[in-house]
Amino acid sequence: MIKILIRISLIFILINTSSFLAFSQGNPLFSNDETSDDTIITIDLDVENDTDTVQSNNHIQIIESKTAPSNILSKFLHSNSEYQKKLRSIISEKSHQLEITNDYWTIVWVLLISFLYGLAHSLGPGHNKIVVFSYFLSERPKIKDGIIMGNLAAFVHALSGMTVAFIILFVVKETTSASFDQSQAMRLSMLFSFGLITIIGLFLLIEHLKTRKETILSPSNNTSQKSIISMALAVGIIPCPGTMILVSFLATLGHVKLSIFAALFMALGMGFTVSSIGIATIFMKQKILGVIKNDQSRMQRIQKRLSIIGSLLIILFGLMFFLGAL
Amino acid sequence: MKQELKHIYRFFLISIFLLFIVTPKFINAHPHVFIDTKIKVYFDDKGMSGVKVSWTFDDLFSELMMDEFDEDFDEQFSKEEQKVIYSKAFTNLKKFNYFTEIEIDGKAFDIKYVTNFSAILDDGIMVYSFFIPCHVLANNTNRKIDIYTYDNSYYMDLSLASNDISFVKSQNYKITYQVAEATDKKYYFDQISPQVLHLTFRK
Repeated sequence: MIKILIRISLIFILINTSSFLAFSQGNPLFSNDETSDDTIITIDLDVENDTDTVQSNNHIQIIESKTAPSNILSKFLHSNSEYQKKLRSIISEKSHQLEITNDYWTIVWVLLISFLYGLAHSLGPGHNKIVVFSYFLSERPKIKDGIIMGNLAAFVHALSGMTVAFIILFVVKETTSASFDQSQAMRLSMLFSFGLITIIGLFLLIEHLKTRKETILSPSNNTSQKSIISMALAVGIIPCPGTMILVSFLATLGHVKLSIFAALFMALGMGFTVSSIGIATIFMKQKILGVIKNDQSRMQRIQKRLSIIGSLLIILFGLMFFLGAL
Repeated sequence: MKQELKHIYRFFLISIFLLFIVTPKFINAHPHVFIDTKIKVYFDDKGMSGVKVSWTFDDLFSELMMDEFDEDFDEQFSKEEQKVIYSKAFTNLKKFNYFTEIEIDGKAFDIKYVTNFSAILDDGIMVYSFFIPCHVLANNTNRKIDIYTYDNSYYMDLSLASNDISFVKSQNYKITYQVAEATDKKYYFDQISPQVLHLTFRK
């Protein structure tokens, strides 16, 4: 187990450090094209202050706006974005306060908001929640496995982001004029992560196909810690851009120690969300199998099918995401 | 076993098909930067002359940009610093159509260039502004202009509100406008609808 952890950590460090050498686009704003045109064209825009608004002019009519999102998912994503924006604003305000007074409660506030920010951030698209769902569909985990995997994946994701942010801030920026964009590092780690997820899915599929239906419910087929850790590391290895921005922001203001703790609290928040997805999947599966607990043969059949479907989904999403990151 | 392999074979055929049609371009994208958009529509004697877009960035990102580009630490972007920002952190947006799509009477308008770029710091908050020249002749019937504002990679979350719309030299025209959700332009796996400014004007 320790050997596997060390090997994966070494690969992770290698991927992250080597990828800083190249920078490209991720944040759409940034260009590293040295030849890009730097001439700002200026035309006469007349009267800047002569502005007409609906309030002050009869010739302008406003039609009642329908800015409310049309469906539940869109509404949720919209509200979640607004919520994240507010949390980031509070973090900024409290962090600036710390420049004046090193108040203990302000630090607590920053950490608490970082936790909430992690929670809200991971509720948005991404964070491999679908892979976690597929994995627990495929395996036979216990509730505690859901907690371990969700939190481990979130911590690796945040620590990875923090590592990238620090290397960019304290190594790359000190030695080159590169901007803080980190997208090439991100892309390489994504390819590595999604490739790994696909391989794990393939291994699980082979294992499940080899397992005889009659023995599938035996304790020897319970999910191993090795499998959970491997999957959590594969899922979490991509540096979290949200953590990177938070850490860079706090470190830029001189709160380096606080930025480390903020990243950890953000990881706790993300871990809460990802664990909840894992636990919900495990709980749902247990409920489904619980209904037919007296029919051993049916249970075996369903478990076998879920295992195969789950591992196929892991392969599918791993491949989809891998191709998307190319 | 044979039956299972048959199912797996079918699953993979469907999966390969899906891979080609739904492979996401932007895997790791959920908003990391938040922008409040303001739109100012300019008119002249002939009709509409263009659109000025202003983006107010969120606090955290503004601080990072200040750290990156405010070389003299005066908490303002000088003309020289703005030139660097323009070159390093704005011109690339041409590839993304400056996060703006304009349709004139239902037809897409090609944004070839933008002018009057500025980047200012307002109490530590960064604001980008730029002007999109776009001439639309006015006549006695309504001209219909739709302005969509979004980043389809969802790296940036752009929001637009009705009270963020204003007009310049518009007294000679009758104008109606509405800020709405553009359900026909859903992006990011069809999950998010951008906001659109529907505008009509006539003499």
